[in-house]
Amino acid sequence: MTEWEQMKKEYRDVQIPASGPHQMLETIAKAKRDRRSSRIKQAVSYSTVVAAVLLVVLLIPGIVLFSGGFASGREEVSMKSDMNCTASTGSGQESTKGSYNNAGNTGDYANSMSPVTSQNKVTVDSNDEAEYGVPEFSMNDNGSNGIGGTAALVKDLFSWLSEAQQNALCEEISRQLEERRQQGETYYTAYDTLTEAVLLEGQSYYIREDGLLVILYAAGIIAPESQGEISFVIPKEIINVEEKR
Amino acid sequence: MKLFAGELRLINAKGDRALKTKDAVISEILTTNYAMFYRIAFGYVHSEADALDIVQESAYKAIYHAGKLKKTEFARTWICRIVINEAISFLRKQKKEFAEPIDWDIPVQEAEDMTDLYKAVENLKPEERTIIILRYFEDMKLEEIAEVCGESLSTVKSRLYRTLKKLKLDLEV
Repeated sequence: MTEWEQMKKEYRDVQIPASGPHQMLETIAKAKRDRRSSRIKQAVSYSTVVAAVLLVVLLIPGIVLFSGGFASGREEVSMKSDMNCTASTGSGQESTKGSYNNAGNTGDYANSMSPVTSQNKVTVDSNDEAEYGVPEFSMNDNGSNGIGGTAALVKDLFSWLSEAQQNALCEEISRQLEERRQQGETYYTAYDTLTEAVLLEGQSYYIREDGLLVILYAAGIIAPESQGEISFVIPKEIINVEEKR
Repeated sequence: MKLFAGELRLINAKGDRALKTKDAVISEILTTNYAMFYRIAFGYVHSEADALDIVQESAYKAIYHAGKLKKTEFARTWICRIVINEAISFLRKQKKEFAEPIDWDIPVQEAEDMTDLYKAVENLKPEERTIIILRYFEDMKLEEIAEVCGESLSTVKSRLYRTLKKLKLDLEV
């Protein structure tokens, strides 16, 4: 018999204590009892917390009403129709402030852009040899057109970009994403190429006052919601948008 | 009493029925496979009293946390994993309590006769020893071992190959 076989034999010939199985049954019964009492305690503490919260929620309005400080002296606060915000590029730069109109939300944001006129047409400097006329940005249903900080839908952007430009745009976003990952930022891996993400319904873009294209992703799409909205500034070498005034 | 009766009603009745089924399955597996669990524990600690404690502790945890078992068909491998984890935790705890490395609980004369193979197996890392015990001593399939260890099949295979190479054994995988 080899050493190995002897080892196996010794392993399998280990004597099982006679009291073992009986102790096992006692252990099983004890575990069930302990679990049951633990669940009861948990249910009681949970109910206590819920009752306390309900009590507070129901009592507070009553207290406020009776105190008399609710009805008088309240100032009317009017909501601004335009919301100013800054978008972070992730590379330490901040875009200039402009009105932001997220096409994916149904907020009460007014569109401050005037209709497209000959004075605010923009041209696209194509990076390939595809022929492009001067595109006119048309208004989206919610009045946004991507110019001067008013966000519009990316699918409208893609309507005036060539396929090569679309690919270059996606690759640039992927490259910036990889850079940010290496700097320690967290992004979902499912959007490595971001080709599908860029074309998602509701993804928006806008053109900064300095003419740079900014692609926006709503919070939670390509990164955890805690990081908020994610934006990518596209260099002019990739997509060049000149605003003719 | 009314309060407790009310609290008990809060517990999901459906969940209770599922838990009772899991309890029954786990209890049956514990009692019918007691010998296997004991041998696995003994294979790590080489002490009857310690092996008994490990098996009882594992059985307690298995029943107490029966709700965490997702599918009853994996109950056996799940309990195996608990037993192994308990045994490894026990060994780690002993290492912290004693300054010297753990010696076998056998007379000195027999220790002198201990072969290199025994020493080599005892000196294996816990995850390597687990695979050897389950594969060659308990005759488990590699798929079952992968479930017990919570690893992929390829990881288990590669670890087994490396361990056999380390032990210089020419055995069928």
